[in-house]
Amino acid sequence: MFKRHWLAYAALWCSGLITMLICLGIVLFLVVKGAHAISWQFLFTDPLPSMNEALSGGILTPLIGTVLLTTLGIVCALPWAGATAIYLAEYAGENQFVNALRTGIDVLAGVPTIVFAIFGLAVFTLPQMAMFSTIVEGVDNAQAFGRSFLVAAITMAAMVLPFVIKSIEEAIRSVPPSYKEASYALGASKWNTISCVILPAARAGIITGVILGIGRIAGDTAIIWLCLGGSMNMGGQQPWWMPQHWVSTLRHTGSTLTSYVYFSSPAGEGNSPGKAFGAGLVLVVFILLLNAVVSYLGRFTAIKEDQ
Amino acid sequence: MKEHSDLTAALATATPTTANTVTSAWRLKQFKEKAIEYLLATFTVMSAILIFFIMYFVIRRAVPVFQANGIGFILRGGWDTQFMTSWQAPADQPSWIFGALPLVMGTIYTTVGALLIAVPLGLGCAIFLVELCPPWLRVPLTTTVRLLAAIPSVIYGLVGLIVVVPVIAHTLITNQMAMNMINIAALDGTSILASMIVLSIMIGPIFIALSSDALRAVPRSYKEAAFALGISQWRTILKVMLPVARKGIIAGAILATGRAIGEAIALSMVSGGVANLPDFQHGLVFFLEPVRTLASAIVNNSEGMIVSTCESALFACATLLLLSSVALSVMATWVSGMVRKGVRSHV
Amino acid sequence: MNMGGNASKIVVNDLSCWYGPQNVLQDVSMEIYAHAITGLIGPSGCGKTTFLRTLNRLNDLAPSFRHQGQVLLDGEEIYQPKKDVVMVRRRVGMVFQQPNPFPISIFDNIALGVREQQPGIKKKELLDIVVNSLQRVYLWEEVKGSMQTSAMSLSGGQQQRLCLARVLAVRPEIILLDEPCSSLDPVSTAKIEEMMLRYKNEYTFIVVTHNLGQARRVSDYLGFFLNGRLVEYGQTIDVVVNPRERETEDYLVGNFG
Ligand SMILES: Nc1ncnc2c1ncn2[C@@H]1O[C@H](COP(=O)(O)OP(=O)(O)OP(=O)(O)O)[C@@H](O)[C@H]1O
Ligand SMILES: [Mg+2]
Repeated sequence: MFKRHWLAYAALWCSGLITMLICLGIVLFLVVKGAHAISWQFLFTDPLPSMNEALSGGILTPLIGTVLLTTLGIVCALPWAGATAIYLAEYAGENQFVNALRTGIDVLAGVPTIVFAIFGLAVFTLPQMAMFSTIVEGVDNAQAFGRSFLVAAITMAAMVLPFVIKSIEEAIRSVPPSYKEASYALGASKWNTISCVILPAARAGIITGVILGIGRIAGDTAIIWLCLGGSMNMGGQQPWWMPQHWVSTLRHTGSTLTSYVYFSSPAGEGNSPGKAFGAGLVLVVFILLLNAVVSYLGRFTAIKEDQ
Repeated sequence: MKEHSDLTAALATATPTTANTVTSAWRLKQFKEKAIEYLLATFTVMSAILIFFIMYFVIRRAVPVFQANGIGFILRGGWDTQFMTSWQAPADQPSWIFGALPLVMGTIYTTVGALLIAVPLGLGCAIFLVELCPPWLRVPLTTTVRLLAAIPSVIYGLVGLIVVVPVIAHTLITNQMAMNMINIAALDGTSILASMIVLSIMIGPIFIALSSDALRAVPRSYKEAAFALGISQWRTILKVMLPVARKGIIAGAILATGRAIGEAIALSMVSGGVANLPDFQHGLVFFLEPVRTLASAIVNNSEGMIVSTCESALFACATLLLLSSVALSVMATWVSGMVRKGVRSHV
Repeated sequence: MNMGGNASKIVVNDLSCWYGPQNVLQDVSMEIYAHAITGLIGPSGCGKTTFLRTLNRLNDLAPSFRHQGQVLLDGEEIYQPKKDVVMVRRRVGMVFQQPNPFPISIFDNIALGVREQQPGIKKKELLDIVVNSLQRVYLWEEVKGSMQTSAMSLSGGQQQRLCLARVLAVRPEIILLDEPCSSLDPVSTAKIEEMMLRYKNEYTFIVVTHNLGQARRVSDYLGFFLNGRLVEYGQTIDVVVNPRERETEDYLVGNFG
């Protein structure tokens, strides 16, 4: 009678294979649909405002936008997350207060990014925050527009904070205690030990955390949509890449690969799905490369990734 | 830690060549150490209270709408027309009436629907991964699960919109159906069903990861004991492994729920553009009706942000999302805390 | 050869086992007699556990495991490709070195296996079986008021006796015991020994032990393993009083292990 569990086994095999097929299907579909959109020209021209797919240009600015935003975001998040992780791993003990802090950070990890996005908007439309974005006169209630690279980057930093904290903390915890003891035995102070022994030893794990954060920032659309805006090109003074215009660029709107995909998809206004797939493919390749680096590093350190 | 700083102190005082300079240098060092500790602690506290900041800023702007509508905000319908009215209202006669019932129900339907697909499939996949997977398939399978988790939501939305939505429109929706529903909503493929499918693929990986962790954490000795009692592998999974891993699996499902509730972009693409309240009385057509969720409303209606009434209504949606995500996170930590305690008492 | 008049239950012919490249058992041949207690002794790491786990095919769980030779249960090869492993394990039960009750109630721990083997068993019958097997391991008096509490709340000795009761309840023909008393107090140990002696007419016991006194007290036959070989095997009294091999003698007087 117990030989008759074949149905259960078949179901288990199916669910495993279905999962794999879905993933392969999505990636293949993306490659097939996106590959022919990709060319040097596609990568290196700016998007042009046109409903005609042939005339709507490339993805240069969104690409630069993604790089700019991930860099800014991670630069904002890293010191903050690093400090928190060091404190939690090395200074904080096990008590009620520390548990409350940890719970706070855990809860933060579960907050949807759209809520972070609207929070960013709420904070950066305050008149006191006007220096982060450009002021738009005449808009009901708001002195500042609340949308710019700076705003989006800071909001992104808040969004990835809990994940980066977690992976850095684990990296620090997985440094063998003998390193620390050796350092203390030489008479080094606690901070010296941390900065000269523990952090270098945890380097690979910290990089892993940073890359995971970059992946999350690069892949997010909700925060981009609300905090960076839906314009396809850089909104600041032109040409945006001149050093004297950098501040203006950062304080203005722009686009990233994700917002480009959204905008060009049938759901957005651009409606050029071919380009959306091209940009999507570029984005996924970028994120896959990041993941490859993570698993390469993971071979040397036993860092557990976040879910 | 304590002994170490005592040790350093001992080392420093043990070599007092010129007593005065050493002590002052020592004091300076001690001060620096303390200062660093407090600085780090400040950052930590800031990370932890960020959640309260978020609550404060989001809820503060939602208050006018909650005051104007009370509980009616989640019990009444009519979102689309109300939003239009408020958007067009003259500045001196703002319209504060909003009813987000269709959004709340849309969120619930899509989330529950996604869980209905993702939990059985994901659990099956996790069991397969932990118990049945032949070694050569293990790496490809874990890699694909990780890949699925890494793909950005806008890509899921795009693929959903280009593949899932047209397939639903062409194979499931008949002209007759569309005619019957014409006064309620346009059936164009963007629907609860499309949302369920897309969402379930998005939350699947996190659920698979967490539940396979839970299954792997079941002590080997339980499995051996069951085998030695002549219980077959499948019955062992069913009667021993799953019950023991239960709490971890539930925690995984809770976290997956949180993600489904909060997904904005992909759903704004495939769920349909109207705050329609699907009705079970329509039978299976229920699944083909468009909906809008709380999260996707914030995206789709974001142009309304410049009008303070509409803005407040969107913040009210965000408040609902925020509070439910906090509740889910707390539940998940509570459940998995019980897991941790349980495991400790086993070993 | 039949050394004691009992019929042989298991016949092992030239059994060799490997974990990956490591050869753990070499050419072990041995007959296990029905309704007798067979003791296995030997220094740590000599392959006793491996040998036991070959007898109910629990080694199938180790991916790197490989074997050669025959294991005949009532004359039938248990490793033949078509053999139903679950059926083999139903006939050959096992108690492990570390007590491993399931993290469920005391009652369910025993009921689980019984329900699996006899689906649809009547409540009354089930209860009888549970009580009876708890009585056999002298645990009933200690737990009868708390059948619904978690098995995890029992002491180590009680847990091990529960594991034994759980196996007795499903009535296997053979019960393998892998150092069942190694982490137990003398009282629990004595109770387990008493149980074996009392019920050996119903089961066939194979018990690995590090405790020579225990081997002497309970076993009818005694096998001595060394470095993966079965060095000596015979009636306990012969092996203990009058070992044929020098290595056995050394072990018995405590020269190693
Ligand atoms: N699952 C396994 N995988 C690889 N090697 C194993 C495995 N189980 C046991 N071994 C190896 O096989 C050898 C014999 O182990 P076994 O457990 O059979 O010894 P033992 O006689 O039971 O020892 P002890 O008295 O300590 O329990 C040991 O060297 C051990 O390292
Ligand atoms: Mg052993």
